[in-house]
Amino acid sequence: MKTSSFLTIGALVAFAAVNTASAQTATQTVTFQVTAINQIAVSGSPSLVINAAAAGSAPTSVTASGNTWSVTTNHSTASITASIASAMPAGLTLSANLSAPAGATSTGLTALGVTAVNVVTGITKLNSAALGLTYQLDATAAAGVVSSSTRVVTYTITGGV
Amino acid sequence: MRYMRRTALIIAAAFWARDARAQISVSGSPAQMTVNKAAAAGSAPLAVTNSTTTYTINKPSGASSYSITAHINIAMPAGVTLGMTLAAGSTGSSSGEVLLNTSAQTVMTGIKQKITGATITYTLSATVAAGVVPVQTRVVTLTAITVP
Repeated sequence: MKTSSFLTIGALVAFAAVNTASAQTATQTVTFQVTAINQIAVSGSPSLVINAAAAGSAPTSVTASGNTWSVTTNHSTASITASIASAMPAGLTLSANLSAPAGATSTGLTALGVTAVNVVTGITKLNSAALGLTYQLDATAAAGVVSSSTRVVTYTITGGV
Repeated sequence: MRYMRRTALIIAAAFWARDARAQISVSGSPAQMTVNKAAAAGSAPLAVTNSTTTYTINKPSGASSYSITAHINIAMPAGVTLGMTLAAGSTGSSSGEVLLNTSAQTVMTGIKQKITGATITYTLSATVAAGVVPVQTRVVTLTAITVP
């Protein structure tokens, strides 16, 4: 009887020791997602005035540098297109030249129209800020005198997968 | 009479052992977290946080204290991280934000008092290289460990 009691005590103490060393858990389920991210921004409001020419030559083209553009995309092979809301006056051409971020390709100086055209292609999963953006205004003598006018240039990031 | 005294001691020991057992619970699971924008074009995607859930852990007995570890059941996708921060409450020392993986990591140490309803903060971050990640789930396991 005495031996039996000691065995019982021993067993329970062992049980207690196991309990003391044990750990308990709690769980949570975390649900997450990353959606498509395609953001583009530009800075600068360029002003271009053609007011000179070398005698015997076409009016001298002017450029506006110091503008920048930035992009964030988690897509692959995205492109940037550009367009203007209304056509340029006859004899005037407005062009844009966007510097390409790493791994992408710029189409260089590209004339803008109401139909969107590619200005940068092959943009893949990157975020890059303060990239160069230059505008150029060209005129023929036939354009004559054109009063001050504005055009809104719209840049769109498109086509990525 | 001696047998009854022994029995009482055994019962007391059993209760003591039960009290010493770490007991941790959580208030539920957080709502879905979605990374869907950058702070500005040119910046990395914006991390999102969720601090709506809490944890409670009982008081250790005697001179012991508790630590809490955390791990997830499946590794996160490449370019995506899930951070966890446990608020210390009135006791213990938080490890701050810990990026969870499949190996248990300490998120809290030195718990000597009961903590009730302390905040759990999750932070979901993604790089652009992660691309688009469809909806997924991970089970986060919090484990309370007794430190003698």
